[in-house]
Amino acid sequence: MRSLLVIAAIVIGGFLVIHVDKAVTAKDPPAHGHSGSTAISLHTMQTYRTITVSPTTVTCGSYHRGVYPNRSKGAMGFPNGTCAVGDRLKGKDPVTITYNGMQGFVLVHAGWAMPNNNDVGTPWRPCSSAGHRAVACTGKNGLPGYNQYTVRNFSPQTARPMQITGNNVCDWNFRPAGGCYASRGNSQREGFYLTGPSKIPSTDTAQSWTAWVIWTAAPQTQFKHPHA
Amino acid sequence: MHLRGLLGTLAPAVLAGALVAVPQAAQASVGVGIQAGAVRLPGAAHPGQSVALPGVSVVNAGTRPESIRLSVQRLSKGPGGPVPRSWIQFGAPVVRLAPKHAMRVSVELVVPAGAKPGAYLSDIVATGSSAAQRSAGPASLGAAAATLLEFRVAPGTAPGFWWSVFTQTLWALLIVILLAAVLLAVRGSGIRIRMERKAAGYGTADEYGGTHA
Repeated sequence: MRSLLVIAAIVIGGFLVIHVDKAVTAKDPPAHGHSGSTAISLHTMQTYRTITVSPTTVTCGSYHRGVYPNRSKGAMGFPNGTCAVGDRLKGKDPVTITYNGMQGFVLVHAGWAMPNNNDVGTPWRPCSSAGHRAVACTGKNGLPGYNQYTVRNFSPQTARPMQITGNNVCDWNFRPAGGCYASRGNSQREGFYLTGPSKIPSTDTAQSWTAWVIWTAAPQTQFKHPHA
Repeated sequence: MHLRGLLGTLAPAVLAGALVAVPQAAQASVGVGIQAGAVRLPGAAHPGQSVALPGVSVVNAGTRPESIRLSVQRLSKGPGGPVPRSWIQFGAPVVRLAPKHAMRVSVELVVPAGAKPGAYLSDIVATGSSAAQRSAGPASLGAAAATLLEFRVAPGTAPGFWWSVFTQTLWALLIVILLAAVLLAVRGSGIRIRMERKAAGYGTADEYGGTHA
């Protein structure tokens, strides 16, 4: 009987030792010395991948298209009115995109256009005239349909504007020769053309909208170029 | 006289400050950065396991305070399936940062029990979103930055799972052995515990002068 008790005690004791041993912590590192010392200051390369866009908002002007009476030089008309940020032919590219840090790619996509100031309006969704990689435009001849819009960007180095969709794609305009490849300090000036919807709901009362264009600094992987 | 002197001294400084400030205000920028190094899980995760991934650092590279939102998207091409968004939980999905300030955000991988084993690849995307919260001009411009997110899910349960089951079973077994040993020791020692139930009562009727026939 006693031997049974002894065995049980040994087993329990051993098990406790194993578990208690896990809780033992290492010694604290030694405290800072109080002998003479010199602080050495140094800088390192930027290890972040950053993208900066300036300015933060731009105004769309040069309104064209639309059909009388829904046509104006001061506002986007219907159907498929257009406006521009900058002027490609005159070399006006008001937006500056700057990439910094480790090398990578510059991608770009458009967001929904939203009514301003809590006005009533159904968001416009970016669409693709080519009909691939994004929501296809449902209007005539590849133009934006109901509650859709398109954005095309341009830069001084490109012959024709590139359509931006709701999906991230290589910003071909950022570095036309490099397939949107970007390295430390690369920057580009860009402008846009916007084309509005063919039609919007009759219940929408908003007359001021904000369209979005977002650039993304992406890692240099096997990202497939849209023109490849 | 002293006031004139003071104004004369301060005026150039004030003008210089104004000249510096005006172009800065005109060149306001939105900027976002993220660590260049990929967020990778050393080893593999197992279905049903929650694992802390290395944290991700984000920075506000713009000139104004920014709310930076973290999300998981598949931007990069490569081997591996896309990471389902619900598998990744950020310590703070939105961080508010002053210009030129950075923050490290914790990342947790929650692999559901029915997860398919294999390699997974996506990107953690930090998007500057403060401009989205206010009424902006006709066209607003945003910035985002992405870094790779990579991990592997191995088949079967995590090794720690079976270890915990083993230790719990061992503990239960030890308790049973201990109880049995105590019981045997008590019986072997000759100690007898007699339990007797005594009727509870408030006395008899006689004591309290009950009625007799």
